[in-house]
Amino acid sequence: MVKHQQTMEGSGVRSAYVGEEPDEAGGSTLESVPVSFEMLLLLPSVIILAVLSIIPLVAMIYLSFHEVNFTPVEEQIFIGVENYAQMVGDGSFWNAWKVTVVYVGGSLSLQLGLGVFIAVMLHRVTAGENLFTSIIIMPMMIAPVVVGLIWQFLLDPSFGLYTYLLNQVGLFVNQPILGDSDSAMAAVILMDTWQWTPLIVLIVLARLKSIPQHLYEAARVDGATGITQFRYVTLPLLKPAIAIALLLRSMDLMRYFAKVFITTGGGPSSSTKIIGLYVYEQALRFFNLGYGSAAGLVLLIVTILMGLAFVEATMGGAGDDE
Amino acid sequence: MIIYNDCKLCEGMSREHIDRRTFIRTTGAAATVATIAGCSGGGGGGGGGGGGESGTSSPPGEDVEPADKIQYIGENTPPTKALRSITDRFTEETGIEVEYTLSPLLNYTETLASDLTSEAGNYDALYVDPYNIGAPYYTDLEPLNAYIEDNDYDYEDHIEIHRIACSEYEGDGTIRGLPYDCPTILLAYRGDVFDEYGDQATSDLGFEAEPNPDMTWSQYMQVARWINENVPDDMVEYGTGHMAKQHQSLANEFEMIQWSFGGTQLKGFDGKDPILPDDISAGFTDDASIQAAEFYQELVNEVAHPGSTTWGWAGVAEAFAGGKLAMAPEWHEFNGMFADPEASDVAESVRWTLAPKGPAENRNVQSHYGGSSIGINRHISPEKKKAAWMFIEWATSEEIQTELLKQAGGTPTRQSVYDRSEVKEASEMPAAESPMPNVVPPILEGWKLDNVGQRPHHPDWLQLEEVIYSEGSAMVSGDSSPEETMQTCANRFGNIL
Repeated sequence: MVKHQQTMEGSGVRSAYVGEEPDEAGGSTLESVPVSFEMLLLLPSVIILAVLSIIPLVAMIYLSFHEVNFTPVEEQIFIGVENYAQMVGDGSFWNAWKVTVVYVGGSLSLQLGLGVFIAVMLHRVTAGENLFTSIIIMPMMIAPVVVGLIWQFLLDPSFGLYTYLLNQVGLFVNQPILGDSDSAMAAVILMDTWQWTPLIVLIVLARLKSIPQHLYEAARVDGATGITQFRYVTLPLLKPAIAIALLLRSMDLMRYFAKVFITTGGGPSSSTKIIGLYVYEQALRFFNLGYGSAAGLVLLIVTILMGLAFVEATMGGAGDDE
Repeated sequence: MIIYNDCKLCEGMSREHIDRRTFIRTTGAAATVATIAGCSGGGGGGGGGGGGESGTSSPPGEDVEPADKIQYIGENTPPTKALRSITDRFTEETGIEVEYTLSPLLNYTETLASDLTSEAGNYDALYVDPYNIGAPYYTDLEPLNAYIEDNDYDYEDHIEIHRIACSEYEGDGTIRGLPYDCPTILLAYRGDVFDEYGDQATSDLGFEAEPNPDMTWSQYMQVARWINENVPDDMVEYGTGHMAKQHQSLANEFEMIQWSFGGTQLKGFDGKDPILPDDISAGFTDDASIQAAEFYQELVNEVAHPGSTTWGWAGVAEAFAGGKLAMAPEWHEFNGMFADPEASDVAESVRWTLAPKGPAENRNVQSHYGGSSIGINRHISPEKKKAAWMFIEWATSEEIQTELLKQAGGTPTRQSVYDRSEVKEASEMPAAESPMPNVVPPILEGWKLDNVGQRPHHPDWLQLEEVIYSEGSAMVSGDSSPEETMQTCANRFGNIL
C-alpha cells in the first residue's frame, strides 16, 4: 500500500482521488498502534518466553562469573573468568567433550543414514504404510528413562536377552557389554538410534511426500535411473528436512543424558560421560552453580554454533535474501 | 507437537516463505531456549541469605497449634513406603495429614538440596542422608536438642553409631536428625555352596573356607577363586560379585576395603570418626591405599563375575538372588529380597557374616555404615515445625520401628527394638523362615564401633565420592593402574578441597 502510494506521488497523480481525500490518520484505533496485529498476538508468547528463557540465561551468565557456596554459609563471590580458566585445565571437562563428539557424531551418522533409508523405503510402500509407520515410531513414544531401563535389562550380563543372543555366537562371553569402554559407547549410541531414528523417518517422509511427481517423470524422460533420481532429485530436495532433523537431534543429543545416566552412569572409566551429564553433575548434584553455569554456557554456545553450522552446510546459500 | 512444528517448518522452507537468515535466527533462538531449559532448569539462583549456623533451637511453645498438614520428602525405600502406608494412624491420633514425596536417592537429594538452599520451605519433615544432605546442609536443619528435652524423647535408645553417624554434624552435640534407618554393608553368601564344597575348599586352602568374622580379604579372594575353579556352574557361576559400576556403590565398597587395609581418603581420617579436623588434605597415596587398590582391581578384574563392572548394589543383589554368586558384599537390607522365595533362588540358603578383615593392625573395618535420619526443615513456620516434630517423633518410636521391621524390611536403629523377644527369636532363624529377615544378618555386631567404617561429614563429600567412583571405574576397567588411580584421586581431591 505504501509502495503504491509512493508510486502515485512519483507520477504526479496525487490529485486523482475522487471525492474527499482519505484521512491519513484514519482507520481503527488498532491500526494506529505502531505494531502489527500479529505482533500483539505474539506478545504473550514472547513475554512468557522471555521469563522462561532470557531470565535464566542472564542468571546463568551472572553465576558463571561467581563462586557460589552454600556451606557453611551461603555466599556468592565474584571471581571474574576464573571458572572458565579452571575449565581449560579440567581434564574431566575435556574428556566429557571428547566423549560427546564420539556420541553425537556416531548417533547422528547412524540415525541420519538409517532414517533417510527407512523413509525412502516407507515412501515406496503402497499397502499398509500407516501400519508400518506406526510400528516404526513406537520407540519414540517411550520415555528415555524407560528406554534406559529396558536396555539395561536387555544388556544385563547375567540375564539380558541381547547378551544371551550375543553369547550364543561367541561375543561378549566374559566381557559385559556395558562394562567395556568401546562396547558401552556403542550400546548407548544404539539405544539412542533405536529410539530417535523414527523422528528422522517422520521428518524425511513428510518432505518426501511433498516432492512433486513430475520431477521424477521428467528425470525418467531424461533417462535417470532410480539411484540417479535419488542423487539428483530426491536428495537435494530433502536438504531442508535433513537440516531440521540434524538440528533437532544434535541439540537433543547434547542435552539429554537420561539413557546414559540409567545404563552406564557415565562409565566405565567415564567413557560415556557426555557433556550434558557432566554439567548436570556439576550444577545439580554437586551444586557448583558457578562452574556448572560456565560449563553450561559453553555447551549452549557450542550447541548453537553446531546448529548453525548444520543449517549452513546442509542448505548452503539457498534462501538468502535476493 | 514437535513433529507438527517440524513439518510446518519444512513446508515453509520448501515454499521459500522463510529466508535462510530468518531461519538461522529462529533456530538459534530455539536452540538457546532448548539448551537453557535442558541445562539450567532447576539451577536457580544462589539462594537466600544465610541459613545461620546456630546450633540452638527453641521449639514452638504450647500456645502454637500444629499445622494440620505437612510435607515429607525422602528416598523411596521399602521402609518409607511402609511408613506411608501406616501414616493414617498418625493422622487419626493427631489430626495431622502427611503428604509424601518419595523418589530415588539422587532425585530426592537434588530436590531437597534446592529446597534447603533456597529456603523455600516446601518440605517440612525430611529424610536426611548424612552424606548427601546432612553434611552439606546441616545448618538448614532444625536443631532438635530442645525438642528432645521438652518431649522426654528417648534419644539414647538409638544405638551409638547412629547418633554419631547421622544425627550430629558439628561435634558440639547439636542434634540435627533422629536416627531412622540403617542399611549396612556386610557379607552375604550361599550356605548350600559351602555345605557341599566347604570342607573340600577348607582342605585345599588350609583355612576355614566358609565366610566368618575372622576371614581376611586375602582369604576371601582365594575362596572366590577356588569356587570359580572347582564348583560346577550349575551350582554357582562365580565365587564373588561386586558393585563396581561407575556409581556411588563402587565408592562405598572400595572405601570399606581401603579402610580395612589401613588406607584413607583424607589424611587424618580413619573411617571411624566422621567429624573432620579443619586442616584436612587428600589421602590415597599411602602404601595401604595403593595395596587396597591393587587388591580391588585384581578381585574385580580377575576373580569376580564379569558383570561386576556394570552392577551397582541393586545389580549385585539381583545376581545374588538369581543364584549366580556364592558370596557378595551387600547392604543388609537386601536380605528381605534374598529371603523371599518369589524374588530369590537362594531364599533357603542365604547366610550373612561380617565383611572380611583387612591387614591393617591399627583399625578394624568389617562393615560400612549407610544409615539416615529424619529431621525438620529450619525454614518453615512454628506451626509446621511443631507438626513435623510430632511426625518424626512418631516415625522413630520403638513401636513404629518394630512395625516397619515386620512389614517391609525396615532397619531399626533403636536398641529396644532388638531387645524385644520376638525380634531376638526372628534374628536366630534362617532367613527364609524369619518373619523379620533384616535382623538375621549380624547387624548389631556390624554396628559395633570396633567393626564399622563410616564416611566423613564433609560438605563436598558427594563430589569427592564422584572422584573415587570415576577413577575407581577406570581402574577396574583396566584403563589405569592402581598407583595411577590413587595419585589421580589425590590430585582431584586436592583440587576440590
